[in-house]
Amino acid sequence: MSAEPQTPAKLQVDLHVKYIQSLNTKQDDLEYWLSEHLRVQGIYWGLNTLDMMDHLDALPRDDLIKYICSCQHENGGFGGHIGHDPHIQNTLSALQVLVTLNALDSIDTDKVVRYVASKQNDDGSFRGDDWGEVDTRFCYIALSICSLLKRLDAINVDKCVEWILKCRNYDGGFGNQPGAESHSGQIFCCVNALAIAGALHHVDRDLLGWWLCERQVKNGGLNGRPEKLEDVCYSWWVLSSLATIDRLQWINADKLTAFILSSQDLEDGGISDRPGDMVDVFHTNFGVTGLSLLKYPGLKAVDPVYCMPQYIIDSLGLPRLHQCNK
Amino acid sequence: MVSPREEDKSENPFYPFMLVETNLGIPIPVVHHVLAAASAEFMDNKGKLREDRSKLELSSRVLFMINPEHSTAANTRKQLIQEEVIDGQSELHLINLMFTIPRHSKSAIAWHHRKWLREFVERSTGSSFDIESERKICERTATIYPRNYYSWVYRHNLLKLMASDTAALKTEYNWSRAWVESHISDHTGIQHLERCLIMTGLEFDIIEHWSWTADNIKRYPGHEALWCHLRFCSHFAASR
Amino acid sequence: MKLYSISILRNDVTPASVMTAQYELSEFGFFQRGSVQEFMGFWAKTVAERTNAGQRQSVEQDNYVGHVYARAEGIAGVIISDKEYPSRVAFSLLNKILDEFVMRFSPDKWHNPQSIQYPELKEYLTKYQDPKQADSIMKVQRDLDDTKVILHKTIEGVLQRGEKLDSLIERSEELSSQSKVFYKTAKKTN
Ligand SMILES: CC(C)=CCC/C(C)=C/CC/C(C)=C/CC/C(C)=C/COP(=O)(O)OP(=O)(O)O
Repeated sequence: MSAEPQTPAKLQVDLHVKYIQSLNTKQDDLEYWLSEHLRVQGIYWGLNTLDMMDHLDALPRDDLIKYICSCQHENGGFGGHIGHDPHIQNTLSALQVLVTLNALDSIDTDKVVRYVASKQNDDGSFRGDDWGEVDTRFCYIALSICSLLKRLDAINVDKCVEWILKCRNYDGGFGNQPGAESHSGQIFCCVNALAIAGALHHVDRDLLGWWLCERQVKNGGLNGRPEKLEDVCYSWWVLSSLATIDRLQWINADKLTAFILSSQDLEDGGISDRPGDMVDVFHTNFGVTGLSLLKYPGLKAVDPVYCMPQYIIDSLGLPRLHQCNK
Repeated sequence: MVSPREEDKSENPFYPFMLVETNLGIPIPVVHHVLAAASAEFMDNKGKLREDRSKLELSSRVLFMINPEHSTAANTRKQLIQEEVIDGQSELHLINLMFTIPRHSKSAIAWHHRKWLREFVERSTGSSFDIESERKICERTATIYPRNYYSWVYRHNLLKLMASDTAALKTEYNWSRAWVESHISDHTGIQHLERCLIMTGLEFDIIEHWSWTADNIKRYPGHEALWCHLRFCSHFAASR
Repeated sequence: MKLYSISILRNDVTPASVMTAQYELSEFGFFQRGSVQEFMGFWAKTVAERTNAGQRQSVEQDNYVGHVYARAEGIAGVIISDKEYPSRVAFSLLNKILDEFVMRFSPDKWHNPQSIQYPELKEYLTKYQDPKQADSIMKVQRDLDDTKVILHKTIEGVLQRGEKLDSLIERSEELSSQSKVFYKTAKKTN
């Protein structure tokens, strides 16, 4: 039941740590099998959450590295699990895990860059894999990978910017391809891709900021597009976009904090899409990273562009492409 | 997917599966067993050379049908289509069947699979797809899963195929208007109407369209999607 | 825009009992329809029991809204629709239908639902899927504006203190065990 959040509990760090540790042991759950293809992304979500809460050592480092490496293919791309086909989305997650564990030296990163570069189309857009799906998500992913590896020179950034701008709508938002509806998730991808490309000046910050802050509904939660249900994951997609364009103060932070906290499972840990629903590691991560942008006490600062702890981005020597965490 | 019915055990030869009229039900508690078995079979056969593709076809079908986001299963099926192990028409039927499940009908991967299939069949047979049936599947999926993002994007792309056919665009515009009248908070459906407006461009009576929008706002007060559309109209009018 | 059900209950007794009801559930999965219908029935009863004579209430539940109107005679009408369906139209329909119902069926028939033949209800459910069809009724019923409708954002709003929906469902006798499982898994996998 979507009960009104009463005074919500605090962030249940210990429970969330336990929840994340338990994920790999639930082979009798339907969810385990339905998420088989997402395992590598799931590890990124889990590990990132742990790092944000300062519990990076709650998962076995060496096993993770070994597992991630076993998902890499000859062509440089990573699959979502052992034996699964490569895709740039899993490639980013794999890289994020290795960066977090300070283990980039366990793979051949040049191969990764070649893989990503091979996915660019002549019009600047990116395919997700060998089968040709095109989406603004993949532009962000390609730029993020190349930026984390400091190899933006390997792709045509200007062409990519040009294509992303074709996906912009009259409302200031972006869709997944030209002409598609504005969606907060796609806006996250486009805005932060533009940030990485050094092309944020193309964004009308007030127009887009307005659309984004209109995503907040009465109970404090955010939705992904007009008249849809609020969902904890938009605490990340919307907030990080607002943070990148320096309009974070346009939403009601207290109400959103309360909404995220009331979506926690107070018995077994984890965060769900909205109060009372079943938790998963995806929403757990974006609830926690959202809380970090809201400056929730005890959490590490997150970088809104890369969705990783700020200290990691800083330690890679990458510039802060946003105004937060000063 | 359903819950199992113990009482069926004796009479139902397919227990725990259920077959009622033409509907197959897979009880939720057994789905993960099905997936685990299909996954093992799939991985076992994926690397093998082309002797016997039937196991690969079957296991990928189960994985894809139960979880359309399983991109590796979907990719394998594309490969099997290229190898002519799977016939294009029957794959289309499989996708149609999958799209009777609301959650499955919003899968990005499944919609891309359909697009790929359409282009592949068109390329290899030289004959074009029936747009009408494509529109029907879009309408059905937008109904069972409201504001179905990828279904509407797919429909936008059909619109591009009709770009030079004014009559067809007009028909699509009228259809969209009727759709919006009965789905007034459907911001995604309204995008389609906006696509139609943009594509037909100057031939439009924007004043008439504007007053139609305003009428809807009065009749159904409090719907954000309609106000967004009004914003679009003023933007559209100003940019002409 | 969608009307899922119209039902008429007597709520002068506890538990309230359904006298006649119609459903339009074609958009739900084949195996789910039975449970959805049971839930809508359960929901209508629960809310009708908690609506006083003369009261109008709307209760939201996920993507659905239930509109309830209880009459002084001890009967209540319940419409379950999606959130797009205009609530003014729903209440005008309830008014019209309940007027017709009390004229047609005298209270001595209420305890015996088998004796109540009201095929028009099905026609209404079909016809008024398009709320424009109700324009003429709306004109006659201007006075509706004067009656306040209480709006609840969740069903908890209509329950008495200490009542919990989950335990009402658990205890309910009209919900089959199949439906109770369905409720739990639907919530889990939503
Ligand atoms: C490194 C990070 C954090 C991300 C990688 C980049 C990716 C994959 C971003 C995903 C962005 C995203 C959430 C896109 C949305 C896709 C979309 C159109 C979803 C629509 O799904 P619905 O289930 O209809 O959801 P709503 O109802 O909430 O709109």
